[in-house]
Amino acid sequence: MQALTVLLPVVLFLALLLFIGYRSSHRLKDSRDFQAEYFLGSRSLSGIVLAMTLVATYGSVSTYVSGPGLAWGYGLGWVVFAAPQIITGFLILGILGKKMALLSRSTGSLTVIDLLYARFNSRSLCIILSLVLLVFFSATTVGQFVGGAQIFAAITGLDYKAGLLLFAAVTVLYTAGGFRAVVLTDVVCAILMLVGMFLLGGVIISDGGGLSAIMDKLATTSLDDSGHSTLLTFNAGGALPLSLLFSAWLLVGFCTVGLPQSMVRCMSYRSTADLHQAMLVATIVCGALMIGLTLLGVYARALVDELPASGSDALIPTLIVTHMHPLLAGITIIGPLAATMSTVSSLLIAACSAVMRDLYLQAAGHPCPDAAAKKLSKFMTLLIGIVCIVLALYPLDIVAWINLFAFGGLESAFLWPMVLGLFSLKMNRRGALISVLLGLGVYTLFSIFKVNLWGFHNIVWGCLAGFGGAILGSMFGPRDSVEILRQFFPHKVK
Amino acid sequence: MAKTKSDLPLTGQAAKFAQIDKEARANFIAALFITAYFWLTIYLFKDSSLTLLAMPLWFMLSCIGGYFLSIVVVWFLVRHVMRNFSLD
Repeated sequence: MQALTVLLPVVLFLALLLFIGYRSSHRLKDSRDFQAEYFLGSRSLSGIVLAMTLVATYGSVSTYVSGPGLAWGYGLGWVVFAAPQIITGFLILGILGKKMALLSRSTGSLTVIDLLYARFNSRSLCIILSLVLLVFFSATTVGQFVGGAQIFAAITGLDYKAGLLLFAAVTVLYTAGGFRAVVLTDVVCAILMLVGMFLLGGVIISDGGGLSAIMDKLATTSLDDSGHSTLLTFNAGGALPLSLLFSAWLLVGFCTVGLPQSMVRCMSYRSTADLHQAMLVATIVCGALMIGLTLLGVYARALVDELPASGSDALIPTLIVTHMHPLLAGITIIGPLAATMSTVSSLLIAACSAVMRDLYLQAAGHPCPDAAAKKLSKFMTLLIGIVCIVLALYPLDIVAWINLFAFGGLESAFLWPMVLGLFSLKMNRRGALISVLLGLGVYTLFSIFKVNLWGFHNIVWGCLAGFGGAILGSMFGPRDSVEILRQFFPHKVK
Repeated sequence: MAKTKSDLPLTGQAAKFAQIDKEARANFIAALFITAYFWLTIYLFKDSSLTLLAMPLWFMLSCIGGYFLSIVVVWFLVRHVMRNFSLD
């Protein structure tokens, strides 16, 4: 009975997503330009939808589970680590938003890699970036599926595999409905992520006896030698070195401008007024979710004295089960599931576009014709999705490991080619290529060999190496053709 | 009321791109400003025992204050720096 009460809201939620996917896929039949509709929703996103899809894609199962779990242990210091995300909502829109929108229209680009091909005209760059995107997105998808299924199992008491099959299949199915299905379901997901956070917050604060009581309890927990609580210091009593806290401003702050799943959203909105509105809404929602959820992990310390045996990731699911009425638990669990599904759907549709647009173009020598795309795109989305589900059912160490550093790897590879490519005349094909190879290479090697230089996160070195590579390559490579430069820099090249 | 320069519609690719470069720079500087504010408040108040709404003062100023600061900064950017124009 209890499992049924928990399941009811979840099932309604999944049905709603499927309905939205079905409606959107219906629209595909009437669209004049199939690929523009399937991969970009015909560039028609309003400000609110743009903001919500950006935040829902960015916020993942780790926002809901790993972050609060770590905050339980580190205290407010982990909120300091998460705080850079107060700039994440607007920075990519403010820096890349308008230029990507203008240029993707004038070059007819539908994907991030399309646009980079128009800028650098390099086959090897496109093939490398498509493969990087495909590998990292698939591994992340698998990681999200595993995380989401674990929460699902912990809260409903159902079998892990049954839960995985249920919500992963729903995600893959509605994603096959195209970009419009992805962004509209993202809006629903973002709202339910907020709802879940507020419900969870209400329960934690009321069961903790109010904010003052919680803070009093924290002040007497995890004391250092001088009797101060490490939970109330900005660096967890020294457990979080300054270098790591500074690195966070790159990893989840400035470098998020380089995330391709966010970039593609800069090509999909309707007008500049929508972009401006989205910047404001995304900043409000992103900061609230990232700081709010992390803070809840800190407050949870007043309720939970010892972490569950299965680790800090089990903290939030355990809280939901032990402190909430089944029906409320059912609504709250939608939060982390929504975070999972909204991230996965965006990655799947982008992975499909990398195959159908970018790899197809490089392999066949011409863009995929609309008739073929119409037949193959849905199939390709389903195929990639099913492979990811199978990999989540039978986990491989290598996939879990790639997932761990996919986030920083994507940033290291995509940041400089796009930012410098759009804003610097001197950036050229060789600069872009060397930037990708050095940035991603340094980031990967440092991760494999667990290099730790002065406590900085590897993103710092990946980002620096990518920047150095861009400068070096641009200095020695030939300048890009005047036609390209005239199109990308009409205010600088006559 | 007399029309200022920013009330005139922005036409022509060159003018739009010049404006976009200006806006991108402003956004980057805004993010740097928020970063600087964040670390400055931590540096100044990390040892203070004062609290605000039961939370340590450094935390309220840096994390919560920084959140509201970023909203105000973005409001300023879209209201006073960024301009509307056709994307085609």
